[in-house]
Amino acid sequence: MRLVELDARAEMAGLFATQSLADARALVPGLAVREIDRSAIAARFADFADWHSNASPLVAVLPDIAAYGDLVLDITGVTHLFGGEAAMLEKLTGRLENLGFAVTGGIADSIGAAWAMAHFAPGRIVSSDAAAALAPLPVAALRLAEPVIDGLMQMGLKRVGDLYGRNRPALAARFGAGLLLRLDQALGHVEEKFTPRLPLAEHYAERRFAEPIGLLDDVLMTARDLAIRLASDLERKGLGAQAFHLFLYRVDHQVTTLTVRAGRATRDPLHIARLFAHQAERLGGEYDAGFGIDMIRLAADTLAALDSAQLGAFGTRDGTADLDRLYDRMASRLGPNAISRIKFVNTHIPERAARLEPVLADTPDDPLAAPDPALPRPIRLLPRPEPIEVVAAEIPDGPPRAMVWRRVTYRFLKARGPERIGPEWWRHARPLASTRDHDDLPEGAPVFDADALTRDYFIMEDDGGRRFWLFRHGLYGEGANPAWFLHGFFA
Amino acid sequence: MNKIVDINLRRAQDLVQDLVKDTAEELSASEPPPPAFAELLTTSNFSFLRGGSDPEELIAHAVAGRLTGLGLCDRNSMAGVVRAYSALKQLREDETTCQAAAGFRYVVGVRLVFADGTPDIIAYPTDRAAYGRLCRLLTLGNTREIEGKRATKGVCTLNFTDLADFAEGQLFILDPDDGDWDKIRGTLLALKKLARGRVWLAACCTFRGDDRARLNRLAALAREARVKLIASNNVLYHIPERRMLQDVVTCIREHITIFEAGRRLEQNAERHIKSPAEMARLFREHPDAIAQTQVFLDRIDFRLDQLSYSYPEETVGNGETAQATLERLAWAGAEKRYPKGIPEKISAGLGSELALIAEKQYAAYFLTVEEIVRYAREEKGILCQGRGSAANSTVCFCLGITEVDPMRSSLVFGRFLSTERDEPPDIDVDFEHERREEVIQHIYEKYGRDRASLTATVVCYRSKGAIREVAKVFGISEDTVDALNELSWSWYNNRDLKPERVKELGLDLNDPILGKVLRLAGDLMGFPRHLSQHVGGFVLTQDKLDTYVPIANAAMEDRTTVEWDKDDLDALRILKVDVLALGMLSCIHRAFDLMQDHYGRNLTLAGIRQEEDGPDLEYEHLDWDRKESAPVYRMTHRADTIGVFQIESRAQMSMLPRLQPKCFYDLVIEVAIVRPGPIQGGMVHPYLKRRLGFETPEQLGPGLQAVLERTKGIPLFQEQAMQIAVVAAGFSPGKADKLRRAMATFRRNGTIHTLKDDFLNGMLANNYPRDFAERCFKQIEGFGDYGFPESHAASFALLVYVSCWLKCHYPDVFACALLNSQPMGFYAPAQIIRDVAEHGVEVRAPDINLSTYDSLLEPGPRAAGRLHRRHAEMLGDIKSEKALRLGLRLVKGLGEAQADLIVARRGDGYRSVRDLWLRTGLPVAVLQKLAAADAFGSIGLTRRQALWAVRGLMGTDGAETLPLFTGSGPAPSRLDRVESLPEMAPGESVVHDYRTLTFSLKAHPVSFLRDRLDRRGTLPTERLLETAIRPGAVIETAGLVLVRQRPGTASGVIFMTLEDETGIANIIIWDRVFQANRRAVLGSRLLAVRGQLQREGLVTHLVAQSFTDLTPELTALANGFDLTDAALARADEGRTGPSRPDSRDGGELRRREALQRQARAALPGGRNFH
Repeated sequence: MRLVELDARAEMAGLFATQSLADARALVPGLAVREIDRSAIAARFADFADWHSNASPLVAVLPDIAAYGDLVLDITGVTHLFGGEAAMLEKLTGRLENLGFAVTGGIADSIGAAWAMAHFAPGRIVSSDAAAALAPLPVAALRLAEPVIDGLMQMGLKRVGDLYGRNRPALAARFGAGLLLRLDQALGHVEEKFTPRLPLAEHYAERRFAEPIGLLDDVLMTARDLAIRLASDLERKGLGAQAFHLFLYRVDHQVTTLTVRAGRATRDPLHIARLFAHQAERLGGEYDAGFGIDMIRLAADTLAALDSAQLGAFGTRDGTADLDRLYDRMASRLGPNAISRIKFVNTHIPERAARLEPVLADTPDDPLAAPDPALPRPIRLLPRPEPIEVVAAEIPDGPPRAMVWRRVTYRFLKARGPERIGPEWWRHARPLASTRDHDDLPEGAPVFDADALTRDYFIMEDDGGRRFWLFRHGLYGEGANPAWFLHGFFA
Repeated sequence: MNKIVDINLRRAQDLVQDLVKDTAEELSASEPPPPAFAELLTTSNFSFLRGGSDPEELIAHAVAGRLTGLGLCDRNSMAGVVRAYSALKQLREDETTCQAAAGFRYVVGVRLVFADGTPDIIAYPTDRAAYGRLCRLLTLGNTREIEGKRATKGVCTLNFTDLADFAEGQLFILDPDDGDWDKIRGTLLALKKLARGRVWLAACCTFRGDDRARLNRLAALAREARVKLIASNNVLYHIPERRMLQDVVTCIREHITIFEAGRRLEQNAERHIKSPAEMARLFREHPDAIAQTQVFLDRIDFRLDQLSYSYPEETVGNGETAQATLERLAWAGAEKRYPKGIPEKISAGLGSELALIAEKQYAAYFLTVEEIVRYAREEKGILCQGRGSAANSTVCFCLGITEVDPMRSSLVFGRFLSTERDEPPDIDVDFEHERREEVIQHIYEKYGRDRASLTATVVCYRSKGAIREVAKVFGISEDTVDALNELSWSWYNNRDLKPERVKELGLDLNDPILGKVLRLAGDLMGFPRHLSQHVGGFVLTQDKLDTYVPIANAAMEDRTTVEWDKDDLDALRILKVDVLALGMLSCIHRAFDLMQDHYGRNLTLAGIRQEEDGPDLEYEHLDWDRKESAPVYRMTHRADTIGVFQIESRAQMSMLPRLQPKCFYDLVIEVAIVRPGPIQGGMVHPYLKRRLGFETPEQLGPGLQAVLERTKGIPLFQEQAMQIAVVAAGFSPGKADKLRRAMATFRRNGTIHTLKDDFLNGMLANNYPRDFAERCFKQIEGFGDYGFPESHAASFALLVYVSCWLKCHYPDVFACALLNSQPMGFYAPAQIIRDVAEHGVEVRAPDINLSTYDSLLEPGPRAAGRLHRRHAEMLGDIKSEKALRLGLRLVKGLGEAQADLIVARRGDGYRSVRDLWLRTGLPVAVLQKLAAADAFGSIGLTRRQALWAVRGLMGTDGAETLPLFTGSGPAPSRLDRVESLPEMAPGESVVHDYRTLTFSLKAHPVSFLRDRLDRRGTLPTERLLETAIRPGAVIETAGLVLVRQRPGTASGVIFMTLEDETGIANIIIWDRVFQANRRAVLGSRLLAVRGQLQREGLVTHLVAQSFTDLTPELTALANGFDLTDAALARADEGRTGPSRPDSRDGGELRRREALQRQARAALPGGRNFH
C-alpha cells in the first residue's frame, strides 16, 4: 500500500505521495490513514464542478492527469459580471480559499496555457503571447504523461521553451504526436474543445418563464405539464425511466434539483407528478425559490425499454406493477425506510433468521439464507422467549414432562429433539479463553469468563394437541442451573 | 518446525496429566465402567483449514478420556499421522502418563474424498501391505494428470472406481453426509461388493433435532446392506471450546467473514471427542455400534513402526557388501588425504567410526552421499562441501564429503553419530546454488521417482499470517492488520506489550473484537497451513517409496515430495540426504575458472587450504606472520572483507580487528562467535578479554578444561554447551539433548525450570561454585537454535578462508566472480565495484560492443600500482593484472537472453544505434535501457545522444522502422541526426548512472556537494579515521545512507552506514535519539550526522546526536541544476511567482514530488530493517 494524498501536517512530517505505507508508518508512528476511494472523490469533485456553473455555464472537469482536481471554465463573455478577468480569478479562488480549500488558478486563451499557469505560475493571466509566458515553465506544464516528461528530462529538454523551434518530425518520432498536440494546444495553434458538465439530458422537457415564478404549486404544475410532454417523447421511443430530475434554475445563478426514483421504469406522467408532489411535501420549509425561477427542466434518467403494450388495457396484470407503484408512492411520501418487507438471513439463530428491510433496498438475496426444510421452525415466534417452569426434564438433554407457562400447566405427550444451537460467540462482548496454553499473555490482556450458552430446542406436543417450541438455555454443567424458555408455537 | 512439534508434544503431555487426574476422580465416583469405545472418524488440522486440533491434541485427549483407541483419518492425506504416532510414543515414555497410554491403540487411516460426488469413505489398512496400497492410491490421486496437465500441488483427485485396485486388506467406513440417501445406499452396496465383510456404516449424533430418527434410519440401511453400524462423533476438534477456532478456519477456507458465514458454520460444538460414557448414552438404543469400534480395532494389525525401512543397498555389484565397499573407499581416501602415511589418530578414528557404522548398518547411507558428491564433483565439476555435524566424521573427510581435517581440529564424532543417541545420521552437503538442480535430477534419475523424493516442510501459521487471516475473518481492514502485526511483533518477540505502544497504534485492547482476534490468532499460530518442499532433503528407499508414504507433485516442475517432514522421518527412523544450495560455492567456482583462464592457475578448495596448513605439521608452529597465509589474515585484521563469505557483515567486520584471526581455528571461532547465541549468552567480551590477555581463564577442573580449553574457557559452540551439561552437571547425553531442545523452544515452560534446577544442582554436586554454574547456564541458554556446532563453523571457515585468499591476491577475479553470482551476500554491486577499484583494479563501464552478460576480465594495468592508500600495505600481495569489464547484467531491466543476443550478433562490432537495432531486432524499450545506462560509449555516443537516437527508432515513419534493406547497410535517416541537445551536467550524469546501473564509475554523487559540505564544516568520512581527531570529539560527516540495521540483539540501537566519495562511516544511533529523529533517520537518502567520535582499535563509530537531511540537495543534483550555478537554482525557486504561504501550490508540489521520486528511485534507498 502506498500513500496517494497527504495533508499539510503529513507533508511537514516528511511523508510524500507514492511512499509505501510501511515506510510512512516507520517515520510517523500512529499515522492516521484512510483508504482512498477514487470514484467517490471523483463524484464529489464532479458535484463541486457543478456548483461552479454559477460562474459560467460552461464548466468541465479536466481528466487529463486525474479524474478530479482540475476544473476548467469558459469565461468568454462573463468576466464583466465580476469586474474583469483579474477580479474574477481573485473572486473564484478567494471564495474557495475562504472555505478552506487549497486552490490555484490562471487565465489564458487556451485551456493548455491556463492549466500551465494554474499549476506552475498561479494567479497569472496571459492575455497575449502565450509562447513567452510558457517558455520558462517546465515541460510538465504541458499536461504530458509521466514517461514523456521523463524522456524529455533525460534529453535535457526541461523547459517548454526548449521545445520551440525543434525539428517537429524528430520530436514526434521520439515522443509521439501527443507532445506536439499538447504544445500546439497550449500555444493556441490548435483549438481544444471540452465537454461541459451537466450535459443536456437526451430526454428532457423544459419551459422558460418570461417572469420568474416562485410558488411551489406553480413549480409542481409545471412539472406535471413537463411530465406529460416528456412521457409522449419517451413513449415514441418505447422507453421508460427509473429516475427523474427537476432542475429549477433560479435567477440568482443557482440550481435546485429535485430527484425522484421509481421502483421500476415508468413514464406515467401522473405517477411522476405525484412523486414530485410527495417529495415537495417532505421538502416543506426547505424549499427556497430565492428571487424566482426563470427556467424549469425535467430530465429522464436511468432509461430502460418499456413496451407500450404493457400499459395497454388488455395487458397482463400480475399485480406486481401495482404493488411496485404503491411502494413508490408510499416511499416517496413516507420516506424510503418506512416500508419494509421480510428477508431471510443466513444464521443458525432462529430469531435472527428473518429481518425487515426497506422494500426499495436492492440487496441481493443470499441463496444460503433460505430456511433448511430439515429443521422445522414454528409458525409463530414469540417476540422474546418467555421463561417457563418445567417438570422432570431428564438430565442431561431430555425433554420435560410438563411446563408452566403464564401460570397454566401443560402436560406433554410427545417430544422431538433436542436440536442444539450454539451461540454466535463472535457477537458477544465478552472475551475468549485460549484453547492452547499461552503463558506469554501480555499484562492486562482479557481473561476468560465462561458465559457462552447453548440452546437445546424441543418440539413438544401436549395433551390438547398444542405444539410448542421450547428450549433449555445452557447445557447441564455449562453454567449454573439452566433456564427454560418458550420460543414459539407450531399450532 | 521442531519447535511446533515440541510445543505440541509438551502440551499433549500436560493435558493428559491434568485430565487423567480428573477422570480418575470421576471414575471412582461412577460405578459401572462405561463400554469400551474408540473414535475412528477424526479430522485433524492436517486436513488443512478443516480440522480444529493438532493430531497431538487429539491423541492426548483420547488417551486422557479413557478411549481405547483413536484412528486419525485426514482428507486424502497421511501428513499428520506421524505426529500422532510420536505424541503417543512420548506419552508412553513419560512416567506420569505411561499408565494411561499403555493399552491405547492408535490406528492410521485416511478419509477418501472423491471428485465424482461419492460420499466420503474412511479407509483403515489392516496390515503393512494394505497400508502400502493405500499410500499408492493417494499417490495416484496426487499425481493424476487432468486433461493432459500435471496435477497441481495439493490437489488429490480420486474417483470411486480407483478404489477397486487398492481395496484389498482395507477396512472401510462410509460416512453418510445428510445429502442424498439414494447415493449413500448405492455407494454402500457398491462398497460392500468391493470388500465383503470389511465395510461399516458410520453413525453420528448431529443434534439437529432428529437424531433418534436418523440413527434408526441408518440402522435400517445397515441391516438392508448387511453391514454393521459403527458409532463415532465425526470429530473435528478435541474439545468443544475449539469450535471457535474451527469456525475461524472454515471462514478462512471459504474466504468469508464470520459475520456472513451463517449456516456454513457448524450449528453447535458437538464434534469433539466424547467420553465412552457419553457415547454409550447417545447410542443407548444401538449399543452394538459402540461395540463395533472394538471389533474394528481388533481387526487392524498395522502400526507405523512396522514400516521397517530399508535403505537402498548401494552395492557396487562385485559381490562386495556395502560395508566392505565403504571400508575400502574410506581407507583409500585416507591414503589420498595423507600421502605421507595415515597418522595414528586418523586410523584409530576411522576404525572406530567404521565399526559403529557397521553396527548401526549405515554403510549404504554413507555410500549414497559419497556417490552424489563424486558425481557432482567429478562428472559435473560442481563444487560441493559437507557441512553441519557430518564434519565431525573422519569417514566423511576421507570419503571427500567434508573438508575439515580431523588432524587439525578436535572433532566430536559423538555429536554426529553415537550408540546412545538413537538418531539416524544426518549428512548435509552444500552445492553451488545455480547447479544444484542437476544434482537433484541426478538423484531422481539414479533411484527413480518411485524410490526417491524430496522431503516436505510443513508451513505453519506464524504470528503475522495468523493475525492477518483471523483479522480478515473478522472483517478488520488491512490497515488495522498492519498495525496489529506491529503489535504482535512486539508481543511475541519481546513479550512486552506496553499500553502506550498499543495506543500509539490506535488500537484498544479492550475492544471485544480485537481481543478475540488476538486470542484466536494466538490459537491458530502453529497450525499447519500447507505442505511445501524441503530445501533439499531427499528420502531414498530400496523398494517403492510410495508404499511408505504418499508422494505428491511439488510446486516446481520435475519435483516430487513425500507428505512427511524431517521430524516425521526422524521419528520413523527413515534416512534422508540433504542436498543444499550455497551461493558462495557458485562464486568460488567462477573464480577458479577465471583463475584458470586468465592466470593459468588451477585452484581447488583443498589446494588453498593446503597452503594455509603448510607442507607439514611443523609448519603449524611457525610464527603466523611468516606463513604463506599471513597476507590473507592481515587483510582481515583491517576488516577489509567486503564480499567475503560470512565475515562480511557489519557485526563481523567490527569483530575482526579485535579478534585478529591468525590461524584457521581463529576463523572457525570468528564464524561462530558473531551469532545471536554467543552474543546473548554474553560470551563475546569475556572471550575477547582472555584472547587479548587482559584476563586469564579460571581453573575449571580437568573435565571442563578439556571441553573448554580451545576456546579459553568460554563455550562458543553448541557441542560445548552440551558437553558442559554432561561433564559438569552430570547429565546423560540424552538429557543434554533434551535441554538443548527445551532451550530452542519456549523460554518459559515447566520443563526448563526443572532442567535448570537439575543443571545447577548437578554442578554444585561436582563442587563448582554457584555463580559459575549460573553463568554457565545463562551461556547455554544463549544457544538453542542460535549457536553453530563447531564442525559446521569449521566447514564454513574453509569457505571464508578461500574467499579471503581470492580477495587478497586476485581482487579482480574475486569481484568478477562475485558480480556474476549476484544477488548474493551482504553488499550490492555498487559497493563491490567501489571496493575492487580501491584495490587498484581498473573498472570499465558496460558497453554494447565490449561487454557480455556477465562481467569479464580484460587486459589492464597492474593493480598493485593503483592501490588506494587505505590498502597500501597490500602492495606486495595483490597479483591482479586485469581490468574488470562490467557485464550487461548490471543494466537494470536487461535480460540474459537479450544480452546474449547482443553478443551473438555483434560480429566486428555495432556501428550505430540503428545498426544494433537492425541486427538484433531487440525491442526499442530494451535499447532505451542500454542507452540510459550509457552503454554506447564505444561508438562515441553520450547517454543523451544515444537516447535521442533510440527514441528515433520508435518512429512515426512506418517504412523506416522496417529492416528491409539490411544488405545495403543501414542508411542514416534524417531523423537520426544528432540534435544539439543540452549537455548533461556531471552531477546529473552520475545520478543517472545510479538510476540505471545502481552505481557510477564517473564520480560519487557526494563529491559534487563537497564544496557545500566543506562550508558547513562537514568532514569527509575518511577523516574520521585520522588520529588527529580524538575520540570524544563532536564532528559532522555526511553521505549516502547505505544500510540501516536494527539487530534484535542490540535493544533498539540502530546501526547506519554512510558512504561518500572517500569511504564509509559507521553511525550508531541510540533509541532515544532515533525516536526524536525518526524522519531524518528513516526518510533520507543523503544525511549529515553530527555526533561524538568513538574509536576502539581500528573501528571508528560516530554516536549520533543530531541529523540534517540533505536529500533535497541530491534532488537538485538529479535535476541537473549544477549546484554552483546559484542563479538557476534561485530562478527555480522564484518561478512559483509571488509567494502565498497560505495557498500552497498543489501542482508544483506534485511536480516536485515526481522529481523527488525520480531522484529517490535513482539513489540507493539504503537497506532498511523493517
